[in-house]
Amino acid sequence: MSKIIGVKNLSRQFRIRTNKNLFTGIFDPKYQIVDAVHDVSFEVNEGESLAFLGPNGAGKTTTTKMLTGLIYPSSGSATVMGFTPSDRKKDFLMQIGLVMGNKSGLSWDLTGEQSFDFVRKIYHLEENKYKETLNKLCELLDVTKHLNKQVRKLSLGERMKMELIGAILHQPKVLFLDEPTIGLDITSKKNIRNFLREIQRDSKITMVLTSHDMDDIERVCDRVVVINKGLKVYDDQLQKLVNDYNQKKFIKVYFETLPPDLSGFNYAKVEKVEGDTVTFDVGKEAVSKLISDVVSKYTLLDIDIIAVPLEEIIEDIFNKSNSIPTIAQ
Amino acid sequence: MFVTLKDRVNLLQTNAVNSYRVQTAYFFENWASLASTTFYVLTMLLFIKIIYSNVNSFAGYTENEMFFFILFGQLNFYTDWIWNTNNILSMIDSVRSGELDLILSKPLPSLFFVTFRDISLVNRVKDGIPNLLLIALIINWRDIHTSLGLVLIGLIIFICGQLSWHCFRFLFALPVFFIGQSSQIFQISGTLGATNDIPLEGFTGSLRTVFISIIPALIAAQMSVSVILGKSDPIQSLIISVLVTTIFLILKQVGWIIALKNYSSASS
Repeated sequence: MSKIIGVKNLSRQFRIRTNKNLFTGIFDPKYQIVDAVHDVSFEVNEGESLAFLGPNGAGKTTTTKMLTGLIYPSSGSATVMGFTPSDRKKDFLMQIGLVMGNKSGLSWDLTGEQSFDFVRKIYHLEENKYKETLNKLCELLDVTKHLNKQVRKLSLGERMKMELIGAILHQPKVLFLDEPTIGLDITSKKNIRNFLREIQRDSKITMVLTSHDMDDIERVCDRVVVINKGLKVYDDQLQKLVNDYNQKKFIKVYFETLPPDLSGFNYAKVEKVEGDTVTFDVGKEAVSKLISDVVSKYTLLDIDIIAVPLEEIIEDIFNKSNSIPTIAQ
Repeated sequence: MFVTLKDRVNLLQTNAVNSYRVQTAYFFENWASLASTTFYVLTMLLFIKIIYSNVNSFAGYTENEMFFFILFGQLNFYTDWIWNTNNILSMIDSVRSGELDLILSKPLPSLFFVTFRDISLVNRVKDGIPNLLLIALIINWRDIHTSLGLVLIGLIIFICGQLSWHCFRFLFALPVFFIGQSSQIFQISGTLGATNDIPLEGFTGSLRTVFISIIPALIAAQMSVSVILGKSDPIQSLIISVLVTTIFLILKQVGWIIALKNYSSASS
């Protein structure tokens, strides 16, 4: 696979006015420089599906905006398909798509179909091919019946599906998604995740996804870049991340009656006790021993073996990276 | 060039059609603006009638020439309304809401697009034609002494005036890229140009220079009418208007480039 995105020592600073006093602010405005992204480097291969993860204000969206050419980097460089995004060359813009969960690219007073017609014109899409792609996308997302509704009359889920269609009608090589499932109900989220996975698999689109929702990441992405306080703190395959954290498991034991003393399992940590159910946090190598011990000593109703949820893995990475001093000056 | 002329014409057509669709989406709203502008024109005509009942000439204009000037003033107003002010206000909103992100990420000539995004052609023509006809019917055309050459030069000056005035106001909107809001700053530009009801001859000396070259408010209606009626040197006026427009177009382009470099995009 060839490299399609290359980011080297990318940084972006913002100047924030600190003296907001109506009078003194005019003569002595005082500014604070904040590093939204600091010295981030990574590469993305063609056809890869990459997730940007990080808490609020970590610099994920700023990185995405620099990669789409919306904002200029303060230092460092980024290339997407060989283009410098901030040059905003037509050939570059013709090959990318951008969806922002809380911004609308469709005109609220027009119908979805009218908005897509505008997309067809600006991307010079051939009429038959456009109709074919539109029909296919509408069927996949089950929105054909909403095409002639004013965008403002669509539900959030329906509108988001329309936004997605608008962003990929021209079949971009790289699709940037910023919180595409924000505010959606479970069914809509699921539909959109399945859709993204499907088009990524079928069309080999390179996808860069920013989300807070771990399910988005798990269902759609192969690789994770974790950013915190503007710094990259993790970059590897999602599966590897999960495997690394699979060195421990949670064993949930449903006792018929809660044993009075749980100290016999000193190789496992009691994570939670709820009624007659106990959740143990145990190393991968001790799983068999724990199961064998509880089965031989007590009457059980059931046992669940639970892998560490992705959310906890990410939280752990965030916590470790929080020891990094804040870059804000 | 970023896109061909054909692309730009296509974009203009598409924007005009989309604007029409948007405006006609709300039925009763369409007719309210016609009522409002008609009322304004009627009060304006009444005001002129009252003034000329006491004087024969105002700033060197007879009552009939004043009606002709009002016709151009209104034409200037409707033309401005078709594309200028509404697009600049939309741009301010787009920057503030972050909607500009989704414009900049598309293969569009961004400055051209934000300048001509909303072309309210059909609705403004619908509002303007009855009022312009009303004024045109009042004018005694036999008393308007001009020539085809003067009218053509006057129309070129009118277009230059529209463009330079647009650029001037556009520059006042650009602070939104730096400080996050510019609605009130933009309003200042409108106030500076509130000279629409006084003919060019009402301005003298440095005041005229300022309102033509620094605040280009007198070019579209005042200067073009003065040329058409043979009150100003046509060639000199043409050169001045083209020069001022060229400078303002360059300033707008440079201002846009600087603004985009400072664009931080609204948080998501």
